[in-house]
Amino acid sequence: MIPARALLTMMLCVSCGGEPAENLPDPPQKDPPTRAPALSEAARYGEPLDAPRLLRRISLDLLGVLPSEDQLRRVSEDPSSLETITDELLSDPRLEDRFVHLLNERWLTRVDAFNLEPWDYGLSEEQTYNFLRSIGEEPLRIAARVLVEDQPWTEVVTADWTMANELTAEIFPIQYPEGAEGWQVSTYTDGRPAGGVLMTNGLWWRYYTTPNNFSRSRAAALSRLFLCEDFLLRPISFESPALLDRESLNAAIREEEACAGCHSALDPLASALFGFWWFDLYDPTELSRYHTEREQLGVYYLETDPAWFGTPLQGAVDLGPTLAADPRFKTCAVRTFAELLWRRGVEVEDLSTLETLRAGFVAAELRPKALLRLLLAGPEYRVGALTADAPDEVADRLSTARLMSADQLATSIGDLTGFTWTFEGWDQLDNDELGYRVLLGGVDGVTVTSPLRDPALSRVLAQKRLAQGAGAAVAAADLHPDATTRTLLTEVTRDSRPGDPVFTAQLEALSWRLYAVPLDAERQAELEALWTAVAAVDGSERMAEIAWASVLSVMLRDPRFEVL
Amino acid sequence: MITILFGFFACVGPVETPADDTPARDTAGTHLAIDPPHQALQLSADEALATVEETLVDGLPDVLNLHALYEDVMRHRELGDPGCPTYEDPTSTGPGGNWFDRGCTTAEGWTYFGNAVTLHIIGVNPDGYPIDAVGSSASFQITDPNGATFVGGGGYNLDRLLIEDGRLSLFGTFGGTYAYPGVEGWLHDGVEVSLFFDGELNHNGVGDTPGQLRIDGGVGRAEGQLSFRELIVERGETMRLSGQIDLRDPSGYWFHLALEGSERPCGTLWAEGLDEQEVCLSDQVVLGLDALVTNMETM
Repeated sequence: MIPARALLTMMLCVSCGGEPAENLPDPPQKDPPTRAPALSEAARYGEPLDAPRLLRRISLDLLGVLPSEDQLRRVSEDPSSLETITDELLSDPRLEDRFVHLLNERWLTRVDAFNLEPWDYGLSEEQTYNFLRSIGEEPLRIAARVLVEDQPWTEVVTADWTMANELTAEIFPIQYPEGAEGWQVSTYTDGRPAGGVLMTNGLWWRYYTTPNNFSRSRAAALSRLFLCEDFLLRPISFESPALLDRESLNAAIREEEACAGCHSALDPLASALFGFWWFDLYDPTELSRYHTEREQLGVYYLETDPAWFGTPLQGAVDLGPTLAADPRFKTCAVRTFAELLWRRGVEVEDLSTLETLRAGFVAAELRPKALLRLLLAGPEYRVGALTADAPDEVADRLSTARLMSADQLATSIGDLTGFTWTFEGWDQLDNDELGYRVLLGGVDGVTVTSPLRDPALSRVLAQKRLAQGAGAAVAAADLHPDATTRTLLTEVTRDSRPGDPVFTAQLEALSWRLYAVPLDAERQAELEALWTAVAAVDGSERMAEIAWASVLSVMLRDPRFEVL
Repeated sequence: MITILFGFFACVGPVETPADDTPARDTAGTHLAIDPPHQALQLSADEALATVEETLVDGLPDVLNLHALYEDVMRHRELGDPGCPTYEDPTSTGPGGNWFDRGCTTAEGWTYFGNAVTLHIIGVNPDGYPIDAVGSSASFQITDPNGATFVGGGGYNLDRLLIEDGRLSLFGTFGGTYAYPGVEGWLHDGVEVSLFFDGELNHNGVGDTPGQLRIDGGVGRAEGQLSFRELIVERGETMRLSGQIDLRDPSGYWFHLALEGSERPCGTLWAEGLDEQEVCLSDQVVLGLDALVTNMETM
């Protein structure tokens, strides 16, 4: 419940004009009656998914892949095994990659363009995709490593290490483990202070500043990403004076009340970020290094010393620890994880749930896996349908059916079929320069910043091609006479026909594997009819392969596949 | 709705009461007070002072020196269409102008990679005052025939105007990362620079009124990282320094040296958790700054 004083204060302070709280009228003195905590909407009106479908949702969310046949069997035989299996998933190394993608929906650093290109570092054009992802994933990899190692979440903004791979270790001043490969814990050697993701090139290449912005956009990004406080959402109203130069702009920011409402906090925060100030926005030397000698430039440009919402900072070195000690950091972590896993924004109705989650997170010493367990066990996450008496507005708020994200589609189909879609070194499901990430519902981090939540035509078209490619690859490989291992077509051969027991067994296995639901007679008839029709059209010796490619293509774009 | 609520928390700070033992408290209800853990300084006061001097032993980075060096290097360009490097104006012959190249090598053995646009204006401004202005915006790596690479990324400008009574008005900005092991001095081991100049000097050092140069910003070298806050170099019969020079401790905190503007370069040194101390800079530092002023007032 929101305390009465807070509600009253909230109503009086929506303008964020800087009025101190003590000027507000006294709250009502009468204590509210004591009541038992109300059930959340999800608990009151939601019906959870059955155990196999819930396992499917959890597996896709944590690892980006469908549950194994063994996991499905275990959970269908004993639904209580879900907790054990969830722990297994939380220990799976694929959690790290998946979390990189998941958190990117919030941090938006996996973009398709930075100020610099590979050739600026003497790299070849073929390395463009790797270049972009290596830099953009740096902050996400730190957070993901903190998660898989279940370190306190504060490590994300206080760590004295970063994550690097061979490429970033080559182009940035980074000490990378000798002889290692792939993403590794590494350290910058340019004197930048500890600060986790706050001290990464990757974060500030994405959130760069311009010669007239003076790091303010970066400060706003920091606040938005780690405090869940968006300066841009504060309402302002003022008559603009002539702001043609730095001095008059700074004067207006100090003297205009409407400006000061944000800038009194924003500018001192920006003042702590000048170690990443570049005198040329397109120079590899400038962009690769942290500039310790520039840490105090905020005093010159912004005419203010660094401070954290009123608390003076001695320098950039205080930034991470101060953020970590801010109570809003934990609240924001809970909100961020909740929104990512619930696949919806949080609402006022969720506040009591969030507070419960926050208390649990704090009690677990900010261990992220504890927070994940709490979230995965909650009715908001598990809801799969609504009770008959659920009001319409609740149906609008609760996300009972969730579209697979673009990366979940890519990884789950890749894991199921071995099919990957690449072109000239680019992962076609993970870029928008040449590929289809946004068409599939993903974020490009700049122009599309929220993943697709509802079906759309572009997604249908992109997924159709993906399913066709994957279906054809599986049919060709699995039905090859010399095939020694098979991915999906494990029961049938080229000679199997509808009506054969193995044919039916194959459809049953596919339904269970792909959807975690048993095959029903109506669906079986439809698929058999499709197979028969395609085979009749082709008529060649490859007709079984082509017919199964069609069936798989259809099954992989069935709503039961792409919804979790 | 939720946005407004979260926004409200931001407005007035600590409305929520942390359930844990976070060291956060409400101070007068107007802002959030947090006391994060602090680190200890790694340098002593004596070491800090010595580091300041070591960092300045070769003087401050000088825009005019850098520009002259750049022009020397670009005189080795290969003319033609395309030349090496490729100039926007293929008919140009001088070192200035705008070029871009992904890597070319001249017959003489100079390799040019990157881009630069530079200018040098010598003339008379609309008010009739003689002006000498240099400027650059660049991102280049130029390797000489001996294998030494001149790296430049950033920009600079320095405008000098000869006004009344033999006075020279100047202002400039010098920011970026530069290195060239092929030369001696401050550029040899590389420097990161973010300096702002503003002042009025005596043309060619001749004049009765002391010249003044104000320096803000920072300079980073292997020896140390310095930051200047309104450092005033006053050049009369003797040189006087006032304002503040800050030195970054390896911990990330800063030492501060406030100079008092007396005939000797002395002042107060302090840092968070360190008692104030009276210290003096050596003459070497003064000589370095003197050389910078001398170069700037010569036109």
